[in-house]
Amino acid sequence: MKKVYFQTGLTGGAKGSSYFELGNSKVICSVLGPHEIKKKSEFSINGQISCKFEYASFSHRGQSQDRSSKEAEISDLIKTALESVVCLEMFPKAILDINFLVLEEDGGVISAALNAAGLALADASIPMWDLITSSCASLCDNEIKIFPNQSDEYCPSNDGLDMEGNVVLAYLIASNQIIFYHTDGVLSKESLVDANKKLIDTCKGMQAQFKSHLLKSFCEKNKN
Amino acid sequence: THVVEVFSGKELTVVPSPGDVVTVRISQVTQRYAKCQILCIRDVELSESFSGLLRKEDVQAEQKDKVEMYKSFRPGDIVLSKVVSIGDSQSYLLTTAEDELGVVIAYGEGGVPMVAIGWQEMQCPKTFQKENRKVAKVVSELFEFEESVDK
Repeated sequence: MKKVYFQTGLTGGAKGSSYFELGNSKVICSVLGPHEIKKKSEFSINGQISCKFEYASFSHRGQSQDRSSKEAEISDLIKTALESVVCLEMFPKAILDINFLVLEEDGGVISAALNAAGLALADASIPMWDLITSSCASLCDNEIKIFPNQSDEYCPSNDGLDMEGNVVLAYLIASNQIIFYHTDGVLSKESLVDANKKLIDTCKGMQAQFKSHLLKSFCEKNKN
Repeated sequence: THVVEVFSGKELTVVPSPGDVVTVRISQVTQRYAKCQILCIRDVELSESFSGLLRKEDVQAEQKDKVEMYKSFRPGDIVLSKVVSIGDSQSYLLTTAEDELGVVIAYGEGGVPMVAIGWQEMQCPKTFQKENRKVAKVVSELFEFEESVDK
């Protein structure tokens, strides 16, 4: 499985932040707020989340493409997932800014972003129902690759290759709920069921690592 | 389910809720209301302020119709108030209709912080000019204030 590395509290200006590495993929997540909604026309009894997902211009190999539509789509997907975890009713009329920056892309970027979000929200002490963990896999001819590289990831333009598809999943362990589930391609029921089990197990392993890191960094911060 | 609350070294995730005593700075005074920025919620200092509104009928407990806003608050005053409700999309609704609520720090026309000389008046220690404010009954703070002014 790919090497995973993460750190929290790196961005000084943000309330909470995290850096997540999944193999060569690198994502920074920063959390700001909750602060008053500047656009005063809307009233909401619950808090809101503003999610911004961006690729750095140097994040991929090859020619630069216009990724704004992909960025907007991923921003929306992640926002829906985060809305189910954060206790929005605890900050009415306020908005939480969650920003993602992909420094390098090599597969599993959405999954890395969701993991980074879980860590950054915990670092920012935002009230949540559970800790977010995420994993992804590519299915190719009954072979399930957890955390695939970009070359192993299913892509609609990969003609001739024997790919079935991708699955990205984000999981809450204490509540045993899946908050994000995204598939690409044509997948068979058996391989999906098998993949889900493996992905959830990967998430459980990640959560143990996250928890021990968060506890350690909290103790270090509050030693005085 | 258990609820675990974690207090990290950073600013708490606080938002004004009804009943909280908040510290505000008055930004605009009209005949019917005063607009202000909420700087602190209870004892937590905010990095970004929220908007608050103090209506004429919420300034004092008695004689609500005899209140003159310009004789109760001026822009720049630091006021202790209580959150009445979440209000609307523009601002939180606040009140100073209690003895302990009202102006705590105000600068006079001389540019120097004024000293309270009653529940409706403050005086500038430099020019000795008196100005009207709805003063808060914060006893210990008044003494600290006089000490710092003497220096």
